[in-house]
Amino acid sequence: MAEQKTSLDRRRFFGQGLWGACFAGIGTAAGFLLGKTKKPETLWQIDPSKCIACGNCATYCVLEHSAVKCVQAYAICGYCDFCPGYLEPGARLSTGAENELCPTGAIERNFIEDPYYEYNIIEDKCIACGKCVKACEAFGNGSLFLQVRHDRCVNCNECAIAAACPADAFVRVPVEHPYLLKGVKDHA
Amino acid sequence: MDNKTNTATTSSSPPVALSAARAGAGVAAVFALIIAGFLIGNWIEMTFFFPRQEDRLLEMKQAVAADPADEQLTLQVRQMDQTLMQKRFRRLDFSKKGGYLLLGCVTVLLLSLKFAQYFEYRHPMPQPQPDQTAEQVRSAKRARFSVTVALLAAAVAWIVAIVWPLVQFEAPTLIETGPPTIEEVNANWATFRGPQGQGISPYTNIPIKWDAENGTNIAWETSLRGENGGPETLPGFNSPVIWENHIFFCGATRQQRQVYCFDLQTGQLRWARDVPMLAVIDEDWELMEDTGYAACTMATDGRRAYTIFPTGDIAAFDMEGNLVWNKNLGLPQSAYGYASSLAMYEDLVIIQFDQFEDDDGNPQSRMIALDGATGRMAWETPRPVRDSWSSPVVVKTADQFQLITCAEPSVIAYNPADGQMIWSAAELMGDMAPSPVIAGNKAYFIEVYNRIVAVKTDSTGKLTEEAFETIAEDDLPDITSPITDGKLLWMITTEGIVSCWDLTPESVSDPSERMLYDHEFEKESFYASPVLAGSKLYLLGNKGLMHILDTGREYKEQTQGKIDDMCYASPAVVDGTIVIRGINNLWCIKANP
Amino acid sequence: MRQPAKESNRDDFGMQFCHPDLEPGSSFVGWALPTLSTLKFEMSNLKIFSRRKAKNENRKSPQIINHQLSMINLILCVLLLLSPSLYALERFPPPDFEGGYQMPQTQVPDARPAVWEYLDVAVLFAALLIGTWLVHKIRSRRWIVVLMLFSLAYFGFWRKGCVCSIGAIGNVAWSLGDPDYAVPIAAVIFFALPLIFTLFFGRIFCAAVCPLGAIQDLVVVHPIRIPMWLESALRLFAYAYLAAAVLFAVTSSVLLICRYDPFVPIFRLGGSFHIFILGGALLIIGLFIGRPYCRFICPYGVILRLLGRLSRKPVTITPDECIHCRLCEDACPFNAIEKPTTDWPEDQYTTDKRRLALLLLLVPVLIAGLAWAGARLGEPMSRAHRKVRLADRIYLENTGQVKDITDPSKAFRGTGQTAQELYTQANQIRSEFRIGGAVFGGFIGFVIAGTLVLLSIRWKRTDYIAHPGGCVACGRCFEFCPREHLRRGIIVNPAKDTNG
Repeated sequence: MAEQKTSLDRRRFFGQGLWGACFAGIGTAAGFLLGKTKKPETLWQIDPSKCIACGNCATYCVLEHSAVKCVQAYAICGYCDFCPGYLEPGARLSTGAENELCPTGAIERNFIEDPYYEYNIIEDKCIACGKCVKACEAFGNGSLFLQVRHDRCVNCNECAIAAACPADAFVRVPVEHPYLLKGVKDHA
Repeated sequence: MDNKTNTATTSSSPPVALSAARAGAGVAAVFALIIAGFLIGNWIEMTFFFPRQEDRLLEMKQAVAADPADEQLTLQVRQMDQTLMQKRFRRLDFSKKGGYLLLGCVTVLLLSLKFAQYFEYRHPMPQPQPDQTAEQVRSAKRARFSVTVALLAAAVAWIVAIVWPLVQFEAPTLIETGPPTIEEVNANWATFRGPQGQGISPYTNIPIKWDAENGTNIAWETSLRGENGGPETLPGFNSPVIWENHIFFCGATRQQRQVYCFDLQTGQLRWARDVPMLAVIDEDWELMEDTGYAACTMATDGRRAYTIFPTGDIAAFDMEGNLVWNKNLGLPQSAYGYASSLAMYEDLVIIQFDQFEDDDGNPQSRMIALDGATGRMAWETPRPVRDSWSSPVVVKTADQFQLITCAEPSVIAYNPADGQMIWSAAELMGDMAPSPVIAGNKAYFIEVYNRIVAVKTDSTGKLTEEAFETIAEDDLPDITSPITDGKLLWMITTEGIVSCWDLTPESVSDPSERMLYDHEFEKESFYASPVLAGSKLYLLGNKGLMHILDTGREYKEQTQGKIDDMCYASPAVVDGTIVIRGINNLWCIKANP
Repeated sequence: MRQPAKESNRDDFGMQFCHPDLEPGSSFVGWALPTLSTLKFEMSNLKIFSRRKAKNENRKSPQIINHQLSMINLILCVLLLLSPSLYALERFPPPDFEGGYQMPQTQVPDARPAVWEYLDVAVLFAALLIGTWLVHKIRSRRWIVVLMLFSLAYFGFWRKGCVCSIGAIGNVAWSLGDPDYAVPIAAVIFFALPLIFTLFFGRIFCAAVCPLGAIQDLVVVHPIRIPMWLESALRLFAYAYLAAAVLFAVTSSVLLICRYDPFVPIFRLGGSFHIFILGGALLIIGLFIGRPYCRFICPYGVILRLLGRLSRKPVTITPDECIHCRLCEDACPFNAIEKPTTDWPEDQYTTDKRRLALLLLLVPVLIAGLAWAGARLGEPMSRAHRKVRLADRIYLENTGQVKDITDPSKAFRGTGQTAQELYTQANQIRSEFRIGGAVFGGFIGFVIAGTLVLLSIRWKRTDYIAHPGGCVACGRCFEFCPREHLRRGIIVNPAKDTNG
């Protein structure tokens, strides 16, 4: 009987020691990590300087209507009549469907003054296929580029597009500066 | 749900409520299945069929672009575009709404099931147990067994993972061979126009007579058109370069670019490699036919062979054909298509990257040197010149190596080690295509359709018009480069006029005094630059006829070499051997034993 | 899509043609412009044209001589040369608008403010506190279900399953492996808080806070009891999953748990189709086998299970004492109720003792063996890292074994980094994986050996208890216990009655 009791005591002592060790371990780890982290939260964003407009953003986002959209940096846009992002290469300068690059008609063309046209992205229609981005980057000023729209993005821990991005262009940005816009530095 | 506290009252559950709950569950389940089916169908449609329709639309768009007058097709494209756009958003919308519906149905299903369960509830009625002692021993035993089985399953998975064929890169160790020595470079034909880009071979045992008809002095010929066991190669006007047993040249079309390595002894193809396309080109980007998509001659240092294409894509292959590095320098803006060949200085690949100015008139041209082993930029110097088609040469002047370039409006000499300008002279006009040559302390440049001038290579700083000494004003080539042995200078025009000029007089009152002779080859044109070997001048006409001239002060055609091919590339000459790239065949000319 | 007809000053050239647009009520005026690069090409020619000396025009340049610069094109080129919106590869200068056009700003919709993250933490803490109170004091399955529904709604459908304690394992491990990675504060708290609660009160988190647990708990309709041996073997998968998740996160490769979270597509009503099917299948299985993800897959459940065994105040079936009525025997759909043991057969005592000794000896052997096997697995596993995959691909391309180039290799080649550098980096990652693989294998060896040892110990239990590691505190068994009914006053203690 006495033997059993000491065995029980030993077990309890052992259990309590382990308990304390676990408690201290979790506390230390959490404290260490909290001390290490400076920023409260990060968000996903596309670094336009790395993006190769491969089109993965359109298909890999967990949202069926991708949270990535094309945006227009008006400050560096050339307001071209013959916008390479808007028209098919080799197209006649007309707005028929056969001449437009965008598969969903998400680029709106407005006449400003001769010979300038303004191009706006209709976000609800944009599917982030990057066709216009690629063309604008290659043949224009590169004012069209892809960005994660934070009103749509659910900020997955493991962003499915980031995992599929061939150019490592998906980066975590601090929540205070959630966009990596083009041309701001040059034309601010 | 789970309202089991009231179990006492539910033992006599009303059968109506139970069957209602069951019926509800059934209906909800059927609905959920139908919606799930629709959602899956929607997904299949969007994943497999929709992209095909999109591809079809793209094809039709291309067809319209090819034939804009086809109004019927244009109308079809517009209709299809409209349909696809609507379909895409309808389906997106459906999958969203369907998701909510499915969630609703599943919730109803679960609630019904729970209700049914609630009505069916029976009190727990523990049954008499079998012998607990044997049971707990057996249970532990079975559990141990199943854990062991799990371990074995893991072992099987492990073996599969280990033997699964995976690509494993092997990090190749860099072989530190260092740059080739001057002797090595001179013994080979490593760049356009051979050692120092002067077109002069140090060998004196070069054949002076051959004939393809009876096979005299023809070591081998290999078809480049896929005939007689030869490979089918892509077209290109670039000239072969040779390092020991390797002959390199490249070919390209708008879609594909390839590098070829042939064996000098046998003429067999050692390897052919595709060069990856890194440049982004517009669909309508095209080059002048006379330039082609592979105009730039390759260069080699015996460690690697380097190639550049008019898209600004540059690549290095090792001698076994492994791609070592490649990069894009930007699409060069050149009126007829970029055509300057590569030059080598020790282990630096030197690129004369001349382009026309941007819209504000700022020059865009650059001189670039890349480290041959890694492709890293060694140095880069902006050039105040326009687009040119001449090739840079690295030559040994009295005390140093100079990288001499020719473009409009300046001829510039650089230190090839760091890209610092040594001297420059302006101003020349025209589209520069012939490459510079040097003799003694002078470099000679052709100002197309105007004159050939000499500039002293021991100059420094920026020189003006006075620095140009006009050597000749007639019989100037616009494609081929001149050649000089130090005393005399020869030129061959595209139209076939060969001329010889005396460089020995220090100064003359009229440049025409220097002319020793000129001679016209009837009905022949010349695109290949001349070669000098063993005191003979080799002039290759584009019909494959090699005129071999005596290098004396008077015109004397000594012998001829005949091959049956069209020749645009300059011949490459190494020990006892001439290699000629024709349009149809690659030829090796060597004295028959 | 539609645009106004172009201004008339351009019409003067008479080159305009009308083309009916598809859509009714609209028409537009297009320009017969040469194609993009023809235009570019002609412009370049034109430039050359203008700067050449007259004598140079005689030369054989097919561009200039053969290419017919028609009058129209010439005028167009002049027009374009004058206009600032010239087409070129270089940047077009920003236009000078004369009509007072105001350039719009690029819209940047705000992200969810960081403050909300603290709300998530607060909700988590509150839910854990309330859960503890419900499980230990109120002991009401009904209220636990209510809290479950709330958690499912908030953490699941409202927060769309992201920030979650299970996934936070990945963040924490990633942060340990990558000093540059700033782990979100919320992730650390979401990781640590349920663990601390478990150390004190058992797996309250699983009961009513975890949305993944909640959705599975709610679909339990007709639970089948699965035999102990199957349970023991299947549970090993969760340990391996935990080890793999940590390994891939520490090496900055992949957040495995988040990528294969089966219920997130349900919370978001959208997502990867395959994962959606996985989630649906788990829920259908969950109708009959209670909480399959929690028991056999969940890596966080593994940690909670281990800590639960140590908890200060584990969940109990009975509010006070066990009367061995056996009513709760089949109450638990998750196999967490353990029966009292009877005496172990005396005649097998020596065999059992010998087996235990043997298995104890086997522990280091299994650890070492599986550590070796895991190290061998390092190289195949390293392909989870994008750099290693890229290095493999570049190697294939550079040695001419494949002809085409992929998007990643194209992007890599654009960076100007050499293959050599990539190989060096990838080799570094590979060696990390070899070490990590050894730890991974060693851990699995330890778990398997440990399970075998625990299965060979002759445990002694006198009462029906909820296994402190396995019990997810769902509260189902409370109402099976007559002592609970007594506590609530639903039935009256007959003994007390007679006394009174």
